[in-house]
Amino acid sequence: MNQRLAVLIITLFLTAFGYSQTGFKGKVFDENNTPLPGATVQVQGTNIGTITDFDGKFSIEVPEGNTIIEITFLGYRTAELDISGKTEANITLQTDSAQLDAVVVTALGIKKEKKQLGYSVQEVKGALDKARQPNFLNALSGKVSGLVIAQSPEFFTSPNISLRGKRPLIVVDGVPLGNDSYNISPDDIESVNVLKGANAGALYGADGANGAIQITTKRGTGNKRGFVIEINNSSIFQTGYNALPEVQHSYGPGSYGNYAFVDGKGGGTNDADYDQWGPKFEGQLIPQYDSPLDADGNRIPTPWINRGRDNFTNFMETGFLETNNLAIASTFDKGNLRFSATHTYQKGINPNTRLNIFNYNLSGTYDFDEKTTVKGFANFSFQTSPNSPNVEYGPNSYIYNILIWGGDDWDIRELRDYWQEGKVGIQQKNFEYTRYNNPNFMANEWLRGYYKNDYSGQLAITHHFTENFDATLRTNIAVSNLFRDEKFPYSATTYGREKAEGDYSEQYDYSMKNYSDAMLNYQNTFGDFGVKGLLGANLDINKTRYSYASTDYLIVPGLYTLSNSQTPVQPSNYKTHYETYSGYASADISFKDYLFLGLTGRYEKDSKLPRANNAFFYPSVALSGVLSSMFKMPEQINFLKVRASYAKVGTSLSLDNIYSNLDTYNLGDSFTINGKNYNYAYVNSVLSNPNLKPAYNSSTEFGLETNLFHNILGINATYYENKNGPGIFNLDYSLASGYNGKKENGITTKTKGWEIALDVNPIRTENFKWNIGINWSTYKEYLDKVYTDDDTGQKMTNYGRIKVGERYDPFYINDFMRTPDGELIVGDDGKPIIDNYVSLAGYRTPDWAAGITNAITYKNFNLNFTFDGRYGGKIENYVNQKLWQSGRHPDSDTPERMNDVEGIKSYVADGVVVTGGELQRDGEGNVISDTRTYSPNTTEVYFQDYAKAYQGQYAANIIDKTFFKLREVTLTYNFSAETLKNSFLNQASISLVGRDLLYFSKHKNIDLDQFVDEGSSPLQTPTVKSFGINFNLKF
Amino acid sequence: MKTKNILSKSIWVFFTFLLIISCTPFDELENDPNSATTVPPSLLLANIERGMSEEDGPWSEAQRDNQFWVISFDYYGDQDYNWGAADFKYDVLANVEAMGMESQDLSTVNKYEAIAKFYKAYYYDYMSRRLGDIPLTESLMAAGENSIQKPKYDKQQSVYTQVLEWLEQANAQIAEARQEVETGTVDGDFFYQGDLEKWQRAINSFHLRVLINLSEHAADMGVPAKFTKIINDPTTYPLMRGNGDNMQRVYGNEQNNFYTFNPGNYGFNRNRNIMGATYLDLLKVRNDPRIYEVADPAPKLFDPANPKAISAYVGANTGNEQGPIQVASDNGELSYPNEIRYYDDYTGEPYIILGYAEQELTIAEAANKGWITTDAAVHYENGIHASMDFYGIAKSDASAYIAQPNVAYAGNNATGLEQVLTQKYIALFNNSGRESYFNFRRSGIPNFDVGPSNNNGGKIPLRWKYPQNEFQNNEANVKQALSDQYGGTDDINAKMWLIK
Repeated sequence: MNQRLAVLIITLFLTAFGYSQTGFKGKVFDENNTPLPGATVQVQGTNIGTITDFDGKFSIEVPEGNTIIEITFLGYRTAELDISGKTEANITLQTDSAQLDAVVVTALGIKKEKKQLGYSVQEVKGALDKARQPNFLNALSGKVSGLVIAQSPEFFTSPNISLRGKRPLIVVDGVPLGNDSYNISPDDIESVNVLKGANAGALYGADGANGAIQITTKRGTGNKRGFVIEINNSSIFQTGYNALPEVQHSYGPGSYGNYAFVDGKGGGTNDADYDQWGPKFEGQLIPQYDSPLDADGNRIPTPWINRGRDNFTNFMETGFLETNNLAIASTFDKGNLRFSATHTYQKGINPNTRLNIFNYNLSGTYDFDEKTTVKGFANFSFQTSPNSPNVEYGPNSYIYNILIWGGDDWDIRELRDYWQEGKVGIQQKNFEYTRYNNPNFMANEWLRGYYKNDYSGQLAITHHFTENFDATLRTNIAVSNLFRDEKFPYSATTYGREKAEGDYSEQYDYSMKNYSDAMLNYQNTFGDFGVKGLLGANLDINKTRYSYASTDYLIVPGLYTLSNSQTPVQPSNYKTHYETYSGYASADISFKDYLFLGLTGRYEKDSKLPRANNAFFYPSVALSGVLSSMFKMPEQINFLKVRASYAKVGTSLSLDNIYSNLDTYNLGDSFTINGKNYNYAYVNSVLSNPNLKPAYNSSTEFGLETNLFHNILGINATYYENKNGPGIFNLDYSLASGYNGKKENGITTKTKGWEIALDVNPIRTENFKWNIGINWSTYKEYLDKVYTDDDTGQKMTNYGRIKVGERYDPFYINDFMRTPDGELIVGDDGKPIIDNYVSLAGYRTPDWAAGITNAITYKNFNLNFTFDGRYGGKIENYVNQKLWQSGRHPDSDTPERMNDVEGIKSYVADGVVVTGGELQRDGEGNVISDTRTYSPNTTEVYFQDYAKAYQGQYAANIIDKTFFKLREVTLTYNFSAETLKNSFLNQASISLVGRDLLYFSKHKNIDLDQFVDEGSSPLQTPTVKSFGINFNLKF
Repeated sequence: MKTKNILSKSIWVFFTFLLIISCTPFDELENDPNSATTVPPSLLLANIERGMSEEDGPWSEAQRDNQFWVISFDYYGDQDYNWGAADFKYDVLANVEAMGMESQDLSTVNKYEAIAKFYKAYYYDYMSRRLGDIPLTESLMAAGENSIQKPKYDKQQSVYTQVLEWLEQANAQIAEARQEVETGTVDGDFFYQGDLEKWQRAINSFHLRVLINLSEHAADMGVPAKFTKIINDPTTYPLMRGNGDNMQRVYGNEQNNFYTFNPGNYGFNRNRNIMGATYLDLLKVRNDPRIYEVADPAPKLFDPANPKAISAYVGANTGNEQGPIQVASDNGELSYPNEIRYYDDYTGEPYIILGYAEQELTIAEAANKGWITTDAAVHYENGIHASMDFYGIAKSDASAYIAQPNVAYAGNNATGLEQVLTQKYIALFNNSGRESYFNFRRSGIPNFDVGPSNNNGGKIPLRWKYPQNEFQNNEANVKQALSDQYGGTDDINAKMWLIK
C-alpha cells in the first residue's frame, strides 16, 4: 500500500519536473470480458503506477525508454504488456489458480498446494504479534471455523481448545511436541494452519485423530540485503471489567438479621462461617470485628454501616503485559539463520501475581551442496511465576472471600496491615476467624510458585538423490522440567486444613518426548499425471516423571521446608514410559492440474496396548476436483472446487492413565490411630482386558470451495461426519458384580457438523480495501453404538442414561418437584422440594459458534477487528447460585427480606401444596399413576429460607452459554518507505490494540468464554479488557 | 568439498544410530511401575476397617435421622427424610474377597478368612436391611471365566439365611485359628490389634444383633432357638464382657484421625448443630446424668446458681422448620453438644461400631420376649451401666438412676420392652451407624418426631431406593426385585420382608 502511495508521489514529482513522457490508455477485462475495476497498472522498473476505474479503464504516463507495463490484481495472474508503438490496448487477465491455491503446510510439515487438498485446512489470517496475549492461542479466537478457543480468565492459564468438539494436536514445524502453548512466542510464528479432523491429521497417527493446529516458525529472511533486524514491542494494560459478579449492599453478615461479633470463631452470634443474611446497614450499634474492647474484654458496639461497597475493585489491580522481541535474520548463499529472543512480562490483575517468560529461538538452514540441506532449530523457554492465585471455589479464592461470603461490613483497605499485633507470622488479622481469610494476607503470604524450563530442538537433513527423489531424516526432542510449590501460612484455613497451622508442598514434573521421522519422497509427472509419493517411518518415545510431597502442618511457622512437618512426610510419585513405532506412506496423484487423489496409510505399534493387539493399520483417501478448470463456468464463478475425503485413525489408551488396563491395587494415604501408622490398599474397580484392541476414529468429509464475482466473495463450506469409536471404554457392570466394569472396545459416537467460511472483499480500491472473514460452525454428537458381547451376541443400547441415537451431551438435573402442569410444589414448610430423580434440561454443546474478522486498509492505516461468540448450550451458573445461597445476590434485596430481619415470615412461594392423592413412580422416576390434588400454597416463610431453597438450588441456575465478544481491535499505521527512506529503518509500524473490549451476554456475573461443553462453571477471576500499543521496527 | 561430504555423511550415521539405540523393548514397558499387583492382606483389612468406621459416624446425617441431633443451617444439611438411594457395598466386599485371596499362601489364612466371613455377613446385612432383596448368589462374580455382569437378586429371607450361616462359619473358623500356634498375627487391625479372642466375641455379638433384627420373623427363621444356642454355650460362642471388648474407632490429634467435631470446626458448627429433642427429652424425664456429659444447657436458660437444672436443657424438634430453629439458637434458647467433651480437642469420644451395651440390651430384649430364659433385668442393667461407664459416670450415680421408678425394669412385659429399647436408643447415641433407626423401624420405640420439615408426606421412611445405576446396568433384575417386593415402585415407604 505504502509503496503504491510512494509510487504516486514520485509520479507527481516526476511530472512536475517535466520529463519526457508518453501517454498510454487501456482497459482491463477478466476472462469473461467483464471490466475489472481496481487493478493496479505500473510501469515496469519504475514507481509509476495507477489503478483502473469502475469501467476497468486507466491511463498512464510512461517515461521515455520504458516499454513494459504490468497489470496486477488480486486473484489474477500478473500481465505484462509491451506498449512500444501503442497508445491504447485492451488487456485480459487470467485467473491465477496459483494465487488461489496458495501453498499450505499439511501433516508432517509437508507443503501442498491448497487446491490439491481433499480435506479442510484453514489458514489463520492476520498477525498474531500485535494485540498480544501471553498465550498465542487466544489470538486464534473466531478466526477459524470449527475451532473454538475458550479463553481462560485466569492468570497464566492456557485456553481450552476444541476443534470439531475434540482437542486437537499442537504441532510445531511438523512435529507434535506437547501441550504447553506458553513456550511459543508469537514473534516466531510465520503461519498457523488448522488441519481439521482425522482426514488432515491422519499422518500424525493416533495423536492427530482430532486434527491439528500447525505452527510454522519463521526462518531466515527474504530480504535481498541479506539480513534484517526486527524489534517488536507491546505494552498492554488490562482493566475495566467485562464480567463481574454484582452484589447487594444493604445487608451484612449473619442469619435472619442476627449478627454479633465476639471472637469470629463461633463465640458470638453468627460470627463464624457466616452467610450474608444479616442485619441491614442502618447505623445501629452492633459489636464488630474491629469494635473496641471494654475493661472486661467485651466488644463495645459500633455503628453498623456499609464500609466495603468497593472491596473487590479496591483489592484488584490493573494488569500489565509487556513483551519485547528482538529477531535477527540473515540469508547467505549457503543458507539462512534466525535468532529471536522474546521476553514477556505480565503483572496479573490479582495482587502480587507476576509472570516472566523468556523465549530463545535459534533456527537455521545450511546447504552442504546442491543436494544436501541441513535444517534445525533450538527453542528454550523459561517460565517463572512466584505466585498465581487458586481460583477454585473455597477459602483460597478471592471471589469466595470478598464477593460471595464476605460482606460490606469491613473495608479491605483497613485490613492491609494483615498481621495481628505481636503475632507477626502466626496470626492474620481478619473480619472472621474460622472459614474466611483476609485477602491481603492471602495475596502476600499464601503463595504458589511455578518454575518451568522447556527445551526443544530439531535437526533435519534432506538429500536429493535425483530431481525426483529425496530423503529426509528428522529428529526432535522436547524436555520439560516443572517445579511447583505452595506456601500455606499459619492461621490460613481451607477445606480439610482447619487446624490452620500452615503447610508446604512441592511438586516436580518432568517430561521428555523424542520424535523422529525418516522419509523418502518421490515426485514425477507422466503426461497429464503428476505423482508424489512418500514412504516414512516414525519413532515416538515419551517419558514422564512426577513426584509430590507435602507437610502435615508445620512445626515452625513461616519455615517452608518439607522436613518442618508435624507428622512424617509421605511423598508420592508416578512414572510413565511409552513408545510407538510407525510406518506410513502417502501418494498424491494429480490429473491435468484439476483432479487430485490423495492416499495415506499408517501402520502403528503402540506399547500402551496389550501385546496381542498392539499393532494396527489405518488408511485415508481424499479426492478433489477443480470444476472451474474442468468446465466452462458462468462469469460470476471464478473458481469452484469440490472435495471429499475419508480417513480412519487408530488410537490407544488415554494418556491420562496409560496403565489403566492392568489389574493392580491402589494405595491410599496413611493414617495414624493411637500412635500407630496404618497404610492401606484397595482393588482397582475396573477389570483389565488382555484382549483389548486399539480404538478407531473415522471421518467423512465433503467440501466446496468457490470464488465468486471477481473474487469479491469466497466460500468454503464443509460437511463432516466423525465416527468417534469404537473406542476403549469402561463397560459398566452392575456394582453387585463386585466391580464397576471392565475395559472393553465399544462406544461409537457420531459428530455431525457444518463449517462455513466466507471471504468477502466488498471494497478494493487503491487507497481503501476491506476484507471480511466470516466463520460459522456447528456440530452435534450422537451416540451411535454401544457394545456387543462377542460371546453372547447381546447388544447394549444404552450408555448410562443415554440411548443409541440420542445426543451424547445431555444435561441432566434434579429439578424441583412440579405438578404435571409445571407448577412448583412446596412442602409443608413452604419450601420447594428437590426431585430425587433426574430429568433432561437440555444439552451442553453450543448450537453454533461464529466469528467475523475485518481487515480495513486505508492508505497507511490498517484496522483489524474481530467479533466472535457462541450460541446456546446449557451450563450451571455457579456463582449466581452461590450468591443466592450467601444472601449477596443483588436481587435478594426485597421487602420480604426486611421482614426476616424483623422476625416476620412474609414470603409466600408461588406454588401449590399437595392436599391428597399419591404419585406412584417406577424405579427410574417414570410416573405410573398420579392422583395428587393440590391447593395454592399459603405458607409464609422467611425470604432467606425460600431464596436458599429455590434460587440457591442448582436447578434454578441453568443458563444458556450464549455470548459474543468484540475480541480484538488493532489500528496500525505503517510508515511509508518514503518517510523511512533517509532513516536507518527499513520498515516501521505502530499499532493501537485492544482485546476483549466488549462482552455481550444476558449473564454479566459470569464470562461464558471459557466454556465449550462443560455443564458446570467454576468460580472465575472477573474478566477484563486489554488496551495497548505495539511498535514494530525492522532495520 | 570433501570435508563437507564427510560431515554430511557423519550426520546420516549419527541419525541412524540415534534411532536404533533409543528404542526400548515393549515387554519392558508393559507393566505399571507405580502400582502393586499383590499386597499383604493387612493393607486391605486396614482399608475395610477404615471404611467401616467412617460410615454413618458421630454427628453424621445418619445420627440426625436417628434424631440424636438437629441441624438448623440448611446450607449444611437438613432432616427432611426425603431419602434417595442407599449405596451398594459390593466394592467393599470385593476388597474383603481380595483379603481372603491374598492370605491364601500365608500362615494367617484362617484368621483373615474368618474375619472375611464376618465382613461378608456384615455388609450383606448392611445392604439388605436398607433395600430388601439384593444380589448374593450371583454377586461378586465379575472377574474370571464365567463372569456375571448382571447378577440376579436373592430374596431377603435367603440373604439372611446365608448371613447367619456365615456368622456360624466365622465363629468356627476363628475358634480354629485361635488354636493355631506360631502363626503370624493379623495386622492392619486397629479395632483389636489382631486379638482373635476379641474378634470372636465381636462376631457372636454381631450374630445377636442380626437375630434381634429378625424379630418379626422369629418363628420362620428359628430365632429363639438360635439365640438360646448362643446364650447357653458361652464356650463355643463367647460374647463381649465389657466396654473393653467394643469394636470401636478412637480419635486423636493424629494424621487423618481427627474426631468429627474439634477446635478447627467449632466455628462452623456451634450454633447450628443442636441437640435433638427426641433424644434429650428421654434423658430429661429420667434425670439422666448422661445429659450433663453430652450437652450444654441453653445459654439463655443457664442459671449459674443452679448449674444442673435439667430444665435448662432444651433440644430442637426434628420435625420443625430449620429457620425458626436457627432463630431460637441465635437467641440462646437451645442446647448444643457439650463443648468440653466434643470440641475441646481432637479426641472427642470413641465411635462404637458394635458395643457391649447394645449386646446386653439385645439379650434383655430376647429375654423379655421369652426367647431365652436369662434374667432380663440383669442384662438391662448391664447395658445401662456400660453406657454410663462410656460417659465416665460414677457407678453409684448410675445405680441411683436405675433405681428410679421409671427406669427400674418393669418385668417381661410391654413396659419392660419399651424400657429396654429406650435404654438401647440412649446407649446408641452417636454410635453404631443407623442401628437406632432400625430398632425404631421394627419397634416404633422411641417415638420419632415428624413435622413440617418432613418432605416424605409426614412419614419416617422404611427403606432406601436401589442405586440408580442398577436401572442402567442391571435393569431386568432390579425391576424384577421391585415388582416382587414393592409393586414395581421403588417407594421408600414400602415394607420389606424383614419388617413384615
